Amino acid sequence: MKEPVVQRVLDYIRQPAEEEFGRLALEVFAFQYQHNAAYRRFCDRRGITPDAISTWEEIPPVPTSAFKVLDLSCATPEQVFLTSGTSQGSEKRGRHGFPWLEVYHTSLLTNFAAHLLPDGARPRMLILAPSPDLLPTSSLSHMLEVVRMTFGAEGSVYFVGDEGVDTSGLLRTLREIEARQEPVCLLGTSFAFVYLLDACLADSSSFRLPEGSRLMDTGGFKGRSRQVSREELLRLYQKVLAIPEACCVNEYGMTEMGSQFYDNTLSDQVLGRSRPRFKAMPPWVRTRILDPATLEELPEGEVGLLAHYDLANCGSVMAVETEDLGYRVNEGFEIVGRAPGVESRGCSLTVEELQESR
Amino acid sequence: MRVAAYHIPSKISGFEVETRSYGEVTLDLVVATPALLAEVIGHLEVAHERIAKRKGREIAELLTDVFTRWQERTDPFRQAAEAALPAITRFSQAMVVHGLDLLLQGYTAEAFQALLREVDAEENLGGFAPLRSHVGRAYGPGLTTHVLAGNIPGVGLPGLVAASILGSASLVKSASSDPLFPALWAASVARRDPEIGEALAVVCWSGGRNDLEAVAFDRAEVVVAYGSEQTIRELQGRVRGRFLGHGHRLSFGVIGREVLPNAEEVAERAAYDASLFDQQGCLSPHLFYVEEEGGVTPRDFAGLLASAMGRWAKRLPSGSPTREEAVAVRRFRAGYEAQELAGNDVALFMSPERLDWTVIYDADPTFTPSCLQRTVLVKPVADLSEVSGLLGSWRPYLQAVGVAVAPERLEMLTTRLGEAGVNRICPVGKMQAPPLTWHQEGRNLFRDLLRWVDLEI
Repeated sequence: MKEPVVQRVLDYIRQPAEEEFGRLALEVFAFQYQHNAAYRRFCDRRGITPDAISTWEEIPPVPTSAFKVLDLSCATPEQVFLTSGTSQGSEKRGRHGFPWLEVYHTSLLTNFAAHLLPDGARPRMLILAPSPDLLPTSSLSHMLEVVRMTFGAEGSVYFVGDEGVDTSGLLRTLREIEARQEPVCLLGTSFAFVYLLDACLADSSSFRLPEGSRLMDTGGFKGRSRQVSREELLRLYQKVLAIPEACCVNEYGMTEMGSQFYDNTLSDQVLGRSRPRFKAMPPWVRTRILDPATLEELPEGEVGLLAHYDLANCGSVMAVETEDLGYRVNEGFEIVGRAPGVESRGCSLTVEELQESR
Repeated sequence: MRVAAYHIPSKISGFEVETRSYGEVTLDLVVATPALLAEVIGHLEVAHERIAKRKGREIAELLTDVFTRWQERTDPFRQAAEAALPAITRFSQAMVVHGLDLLLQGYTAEAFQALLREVDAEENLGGFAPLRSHVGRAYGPGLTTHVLAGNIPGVGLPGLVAASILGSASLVKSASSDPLFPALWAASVARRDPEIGEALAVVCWSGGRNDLEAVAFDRAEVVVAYGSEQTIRELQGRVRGRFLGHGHRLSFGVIGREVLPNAEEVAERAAYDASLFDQQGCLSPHLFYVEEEGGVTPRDFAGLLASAMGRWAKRLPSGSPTREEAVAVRRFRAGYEAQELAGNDVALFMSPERLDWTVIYDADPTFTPSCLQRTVLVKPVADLSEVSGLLGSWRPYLQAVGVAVAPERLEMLTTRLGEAGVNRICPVGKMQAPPLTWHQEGRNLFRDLLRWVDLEI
């Protein structure tokens, strides 16, 4: 059964009235405080109750690592997604249950359409990620499938199987598409794109994908392919696929969230705006940049910890404290990866160092 | 303030200097080039010829003077270090002052004598002299290159001191995280004895500059290097001479039930060990094993430790962690808080504001390294004899163990810990003050620097 507050979130996502965000966020918080026992204990520990606060910024964000240990669902989930589990095999995977998939789907489709299909296009989708059949607990696979079913033209298919990325099948399909001059939308993980690019670079092949083609990449490399900087990726997308920079949209999402963030570039181009690249916040999400030492909000431009307040997370915890660093840009933010090879300050062994060396 | 964070032989001129700013503090750094390093090494080799003729004992005595001067708060080098290191290293002012005192108190005349006794330095360094089995003579290296890492003042100093006593010239690559302290130290040696000062050079460059390191390593008889495991492994492959690598290590503590009637006092000492240098040192304890049935439960001990951490945070305030370090502490805390909220046998104690300190009680006795920045775990064991069995795969990384037990249990415990791979067993509260003669990583640095020549005629 759908709770009234859930209906209000759905209405908001469909027709956002941004001045309502704060009030609705507090309402969602009160609901979660009541229906989510683990979150209630978390809040109580901090002396924060729905009665005690009056602004959405005071809602305490839950660290993403809590999803590994605690059941944070507000009701019986319709579906549970698991985090991919990083390189440390022994570590527990995070679990995020969605009691109302309708909210998740509404959020992801609205936001995807705004940033990947702002021109109303319905291109054929070539997906460089495992299908939900292959990876039923992956929120990314689920999301891509929902997108494919809703927006994908005929012939929208996956190019990842049990054997990994099917680069030869993908290259064949791209060649056909190039010949037919049919715009295409490539979607997938960044490391799968690196496989594709490397396969092309290896035999110096390239494609002139027709105008209107676009791509969405997501995620890091996690040791699954060589590391490629964003600048280099964008250069290669242009060089190898002939997809211009603005049509290359990076997605930033996480299993712990019901909403995602996309680069503003393609929607800006369609709207005739020219701004630097950043991750746009959908109207039902607010991102705060916090000082990791104090959790106080940082002034504009300073790098800090990202905390997302996502109404689409109404079925679990709306406020999520990530382990990602970023800074504010326009009406969004940009992520900064961990600086590689930062010299450790002392001579004591750190867990991170061990993981890197193993 | 502006300070020179390099030390190169006085005859060299015409080199380029660049500045690096840390708030109010500006450091002058030499721009290292292969040509400059080659020139530096040329001068160092000449200087080595001179100091190799001098007696180790005499050099030890004047180094004692150098350290004595450093202990005076009015000493200009000491003042420069106190003024500049907080900005450079991110340690609080109080920590820098306390840390310098702690470091310097180890370099006494007695400590130097003990170091010299480690080999029959007098006898065998001066000429061929009888050994137990035959006749031999020991030579110090001509040139020792030191690759320093990290910013705990004084890490790497024992190697520099030992090299100097053995008449070796030293080229120091200081760490980017603290280019200053080794340079100040070298300059203070030069002030006391210009000839030895000429045999020291301190230059900073970013690790991995193969063009520079090829020069720095090529003519070095010995390379002493500190750094992460990755760095050490990488450097090892590029050194032709002898390589003495010191990878990052970790330490922990063991507390017996019989000392728990004094739990508060033990906690005070344990908190001191874990607070010093914001836990960045290889001698900083990551966790304490506490024996059960000692009147105070391990969980309650964690509470006492937390109070003590809070008191030390007032006396020796925490420094400012980097963003990445702060994120690591948050992640560590969050994981344990979630476990606590899930009803696991875990208790999280933390500084009310900021990330000054964290104590975690975790009933799971698995050895778990901390994320550092004054984050300590307390884990229970039914009997101390279990501890060595919990160290398993950490063996290659173990350094010191702080121990608080009754004397009659020491033998059992130390035998087991020794077998488990640790190289230093000391009282809780003294973990960060090793003697100059400490066999770091189970080795004798002084002896490792020597090259022996046997005479069989």
